[in-house]
Amino acid sequence: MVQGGILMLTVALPTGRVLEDALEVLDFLHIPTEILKNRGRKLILEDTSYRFILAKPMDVPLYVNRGIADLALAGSDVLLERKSSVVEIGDTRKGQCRLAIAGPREVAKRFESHESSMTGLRIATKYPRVAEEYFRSRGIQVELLHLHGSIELAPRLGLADCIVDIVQTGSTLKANGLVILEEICPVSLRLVASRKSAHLRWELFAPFVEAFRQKG
Amino acid sequence: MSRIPQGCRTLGGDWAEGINRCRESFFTTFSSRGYMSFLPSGLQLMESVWEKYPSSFRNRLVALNSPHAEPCVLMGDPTLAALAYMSAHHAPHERPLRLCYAQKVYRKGESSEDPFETYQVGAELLGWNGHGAEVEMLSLIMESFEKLSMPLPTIVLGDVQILKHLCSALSPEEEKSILEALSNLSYGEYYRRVEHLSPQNGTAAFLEALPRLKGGPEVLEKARGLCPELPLEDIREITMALKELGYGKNVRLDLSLFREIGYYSGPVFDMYLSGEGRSLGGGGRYDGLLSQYGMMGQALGFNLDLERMARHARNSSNSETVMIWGGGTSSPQALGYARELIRLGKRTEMSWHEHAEASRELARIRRYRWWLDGKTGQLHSLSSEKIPPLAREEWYKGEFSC
Repeated sequence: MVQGGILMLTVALPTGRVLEDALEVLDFLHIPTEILKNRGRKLILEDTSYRFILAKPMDVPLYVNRGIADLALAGSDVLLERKSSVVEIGDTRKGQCRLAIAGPREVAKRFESHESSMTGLRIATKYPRVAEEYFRSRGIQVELLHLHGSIELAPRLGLADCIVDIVQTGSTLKANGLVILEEICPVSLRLVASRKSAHLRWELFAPFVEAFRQKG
Repeated sequence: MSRIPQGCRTLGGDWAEGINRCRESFFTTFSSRGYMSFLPSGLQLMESVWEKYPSSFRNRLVALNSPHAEPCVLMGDPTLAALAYMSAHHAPHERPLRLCYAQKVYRKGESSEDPFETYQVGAELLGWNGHGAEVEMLSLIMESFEKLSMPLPTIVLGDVQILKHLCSALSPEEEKSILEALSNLSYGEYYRRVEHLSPQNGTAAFLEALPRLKGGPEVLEKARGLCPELPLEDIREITMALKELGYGKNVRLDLSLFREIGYYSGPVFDMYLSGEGRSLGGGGRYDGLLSQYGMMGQALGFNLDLERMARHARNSSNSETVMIWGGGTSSPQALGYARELIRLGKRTEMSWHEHAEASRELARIRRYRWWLDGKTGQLHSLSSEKIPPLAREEWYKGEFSC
């Protein structure tokens, strides 16, 4: 996108809790965030050299994949679930948590014995693709229940045996009588770019790559 | 309404028109330079393709049994069919061989958003050794876009020989680890893995710099400075030739551009249209595959997504069409007008409605700009009432614009 003869970078950002982490990352990369801090209810914000799109976390990779946004900040859990073909510029190490299987203590026995004992588990999740691939890669047949929120309710009310969800401190799990049964993978906020922008606008991204490398 | 299978599409209207225009442009351009049309079977025997594709591609194919109980896959990529055809139907002295095709292909998408069925246009060129083959193919692709009056795509050019050369200094485990990070498009992971390498001959410094080697021809000098033995001649010659042909602004180099190393063997490319984040398609040199068909030498191919291309093609087919009302005259007379208009380079549609006004209304619905009264031979503008009807003697000279 061109504005006033200057090529703008379009950055897609996730709304919700993770936006605060995203703003910290932008500050770290010296991308001006003033306009985002005073955003009101706007979903598209522009300053002289950046355009920001605010989207639901699960939708962010799609904006990048289709070239609407050059860059985005998205959780690695979301990237795994959407399986979008995007270029990962760097791991911000922000928003760190784990994608895990959690359930009541009594279900833990089924995870401690032979894998065949997990057959038929009913699993509630916001991440059906990740969950399906995880269990299928181990040859375990499970029943997946795709929920859009309050996943912890499902085992309590008997809808599911356990859940696949992100776990940060574990306090929500604890409050609902659940424990971590298995960890699937660590999760963090990643800076990603569209394949095209990574090829054509690399000179703009290179300092970001370097910044993450130096941060370690 | 009957459903169609998930991931498939039935296309019509402007989109289908656009696809046809794109297909015609490619076929006209390629066939005028000796590329023969090729219509491969929609099914391929599994035994013919399974071992030849890289696993990342193989796992996306759709397997099924033919009515004769032979294990098959739906056509996922016409390249193997083209090679099999050329090896069986042409003697070595007939090379170079050129084929072009437009074909529906079926494979599971790389991401959840990708369709399962796509319509592709592509070409294969066998037996012309050297970078001239890439220059020919890439320039013909650009010519095809020019004929469509479309903004030219950006060609991102790389060469898997560069990665092969660098990986030769690594252990098999290290090579696998590095290539995996590149194929996953994860620079964060790539750098983490490069930091753990123990390569010789200064390869570490080059691997560290590799992702940054993107841009214009100057990146070749930078690469040469870092590693003088790198095989950069092909990519340099292709870049220079495309520049000479007037496409310099549309070429971008990316020395870390990754395509399956076991499948591709030399220069590779991806193409991007303005406003699209995904690659429209691409191709490259695949000499190793050729040897599996008992043929030696160089092979090169590409394919592009016709459906996505058509979304960008200017669609003016409706405004270029003249509706001819034959309701008030004999069919031969009306069809004769159609023949004359087609000779003038126009498109026509016959309307046999009983009433002239109903025919004109249909032309307006179709967004046509001209309507011809077969009874009088007069051509009427539908876009402006100020333009008086043109008599046959006037429009016959082609002095009206669609």
